[in-house]
Amino acid sequence: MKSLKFFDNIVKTKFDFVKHAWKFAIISLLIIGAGLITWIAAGFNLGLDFTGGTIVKVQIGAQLDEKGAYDKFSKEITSVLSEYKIKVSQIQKEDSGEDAAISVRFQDISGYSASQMSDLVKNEVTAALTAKINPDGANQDFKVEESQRIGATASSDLLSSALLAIMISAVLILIYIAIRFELLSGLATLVTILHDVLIVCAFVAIFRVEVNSGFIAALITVIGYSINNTIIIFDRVRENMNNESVAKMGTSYVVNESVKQTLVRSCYTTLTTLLAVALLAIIGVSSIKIFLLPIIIGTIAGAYSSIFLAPALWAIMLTNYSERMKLKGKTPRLSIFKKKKEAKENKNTSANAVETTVAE
Amino acid sequence: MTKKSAIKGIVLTALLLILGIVLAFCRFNIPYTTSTYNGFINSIKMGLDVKGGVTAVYDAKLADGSGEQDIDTAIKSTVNRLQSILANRGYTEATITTQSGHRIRVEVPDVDDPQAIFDLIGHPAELSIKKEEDPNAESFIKASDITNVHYSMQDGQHGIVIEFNAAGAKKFQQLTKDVSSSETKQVHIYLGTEHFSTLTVESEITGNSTFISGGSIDSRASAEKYALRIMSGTFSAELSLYESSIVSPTLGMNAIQSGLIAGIVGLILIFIFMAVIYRMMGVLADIALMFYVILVLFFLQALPFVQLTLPGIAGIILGIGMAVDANIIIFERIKDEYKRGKRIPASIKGGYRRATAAILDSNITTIMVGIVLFIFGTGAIQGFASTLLISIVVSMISSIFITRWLMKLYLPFNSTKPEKYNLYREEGVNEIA
Repeated sequence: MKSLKFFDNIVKTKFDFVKHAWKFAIISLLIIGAGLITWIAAGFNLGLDFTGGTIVKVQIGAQLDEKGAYDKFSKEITSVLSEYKIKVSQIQKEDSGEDAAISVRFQDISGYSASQMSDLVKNEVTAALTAKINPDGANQDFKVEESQRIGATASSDLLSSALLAIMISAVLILIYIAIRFELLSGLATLVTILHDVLIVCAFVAIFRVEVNSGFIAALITVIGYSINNTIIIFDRVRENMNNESVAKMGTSYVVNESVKQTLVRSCYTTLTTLLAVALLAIIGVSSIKIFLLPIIIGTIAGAYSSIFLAPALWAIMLTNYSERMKLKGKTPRLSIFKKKKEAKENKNTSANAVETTVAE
Repeated sequence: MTKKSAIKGIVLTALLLILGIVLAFCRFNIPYTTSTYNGFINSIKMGLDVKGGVTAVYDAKLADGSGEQDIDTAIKSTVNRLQSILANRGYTEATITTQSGHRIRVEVPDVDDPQAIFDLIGHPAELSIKKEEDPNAESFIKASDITNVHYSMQDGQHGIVIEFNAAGAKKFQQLTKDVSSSETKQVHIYLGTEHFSTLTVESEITGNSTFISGGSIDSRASAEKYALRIMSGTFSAELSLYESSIVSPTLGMNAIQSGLIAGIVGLILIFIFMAVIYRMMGVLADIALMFYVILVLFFLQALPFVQLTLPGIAGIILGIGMAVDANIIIFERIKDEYKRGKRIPASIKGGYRRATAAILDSNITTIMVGIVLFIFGTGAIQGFASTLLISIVVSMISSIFITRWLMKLYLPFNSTKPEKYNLYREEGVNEIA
């Protein structure tokens, strides 16, 4: 029971999330800065989906249909290619019977031109593959087909349409939150989403994680997760701002209370999501790992930013805004909360009325 | 709710759950027939990465009427058109790549017959519209004038709608104007050298589309087939098959198996976590999560444009994450309410009321992103968006409605024992009457 209450007791922490927010902001900026520098210096480690490369078909014949043969031959091909510093991006079985073949796709070795690459494959690699798989020429079906250049599967079209969709979503999210909450929460949410995306990109750039078309999907997943986390916190802020006895203690107090009240939920949710993703990453094959790594980082970044950055950013923006308004001699228009509150109270009374009639 | 109606509800829920599990996971012969029921999970279409499919490589050469001068631009526009044809037929996950030697590689997932690829892309045939009934006569419309061709039904007739670009619309208007004032008032439509249909034109036709029926069209299927042939005949590049083969999944043969094991183990761990932290409430949430899994599987196999791929699996994980999150939010609220002195039934009611706004807001914004992605995305992004949408909508239903319904059923049996829900009072707080 005690251990279960551990998380519940976090709520009682005295930590001031607004006062210390700048420290967390600096950590984030350092990570993003390091990512930016790596990106400028070396770009992303783009995978076959973006760069294209070479496809080679190694025809093996009926032998390949035997049990375990595919694993054996694909290992042999991979090891021969790695001797030439060629990293296999994709390997698959094609057809069956005497046509059965293994096709491999790989990117150019860095520094090699397309023609150098095709010369290397046509001569040395083909000879090495033959020597390894069919040294005595016993397999009549064996053949290394002439290699072909293959274009990128992830077209710029795919990228630009995804980018367009994300921009439009950002505007819609801003409008939605401005209506349901208020504009500052919307702005803070967008900044938080941007933060999470940039952190993921920074990690991917720094640790040279291969970027394939799945990366776009991973980023969108991170965005979805980020919105979810941030809105849950702002919902608590909204509720506490509507509670006069809490709201009169000041913005900073409200934000701290709201973060603490949602902290247990943040920890549990992050834990369960990470559990599911991490398991898949541990058990899965290497391309699954490459795909899930950005999601794992995004999940952590999403929890971190929604606790340490988003609410504090909102509090700071609100304080600045109120002060500017006071300087101009106007009352800050936070009446938006008041209006909502009145509406809510009206709704609550009517909801209560409904509840009493429904109650058994 | 009385105990009696609660028992009825529990029995009903249990039956639904068992039925759901059977429909989702079991494969069996349907009694008194020879057909087999496969279960949702076996009927889901899979992407190239998890299941493999068919690869066809085409030699491309510049088509006569294409209007393009350069083979590379022609190939590029052909690749785009192929992509949209395949996406329209539900294969959002098909990939099309250019290959050296002016070749185009088309990979279509979850198809195991190389011939089937031709049913998807069609045997290209160039559409021509002539004044005389003679295959060699001059055509007044070129392939490059056509922007889209699709099936339609007008006045009870199956047919094809051909949409023109501005130049095509102008040519067609001029042609119909000429023909309507001629003696025969007829235009002849050819597909390649095959005489397809003869139209009688009574008056000048304006606008950028026209409807063709009759001729060789006698059913919806044949109209769709011809529409496809005409559409692929408008490619700037003429395609001829170079080779085709069946390919295995790009993720490797063991990817599905290991992914499935990881998914099941992950789910079980989440189940245990919820049950330990929230006791009975957690168990009820776990049952709701089972309904979530069944419903997601159902929609994945029922919707035609969904192919499950690795990114799709991430979308499902996000959905599981959000479903669990919603339950955690609700349960934490219930705990808060109870701490402050409310009774269990009132705590549950209050917890739900306070949590619903947060859950709705966060789900609606994520659903908005999904819809925008689906509308503006292309190819794989669209496929991913649909999996994401299914997963989030179902997660919302599961956490808001199903858990609540289960809670209502369970409450009559345990409305006074807080330890069953892992609820406790704040120190010094007494029960509010």
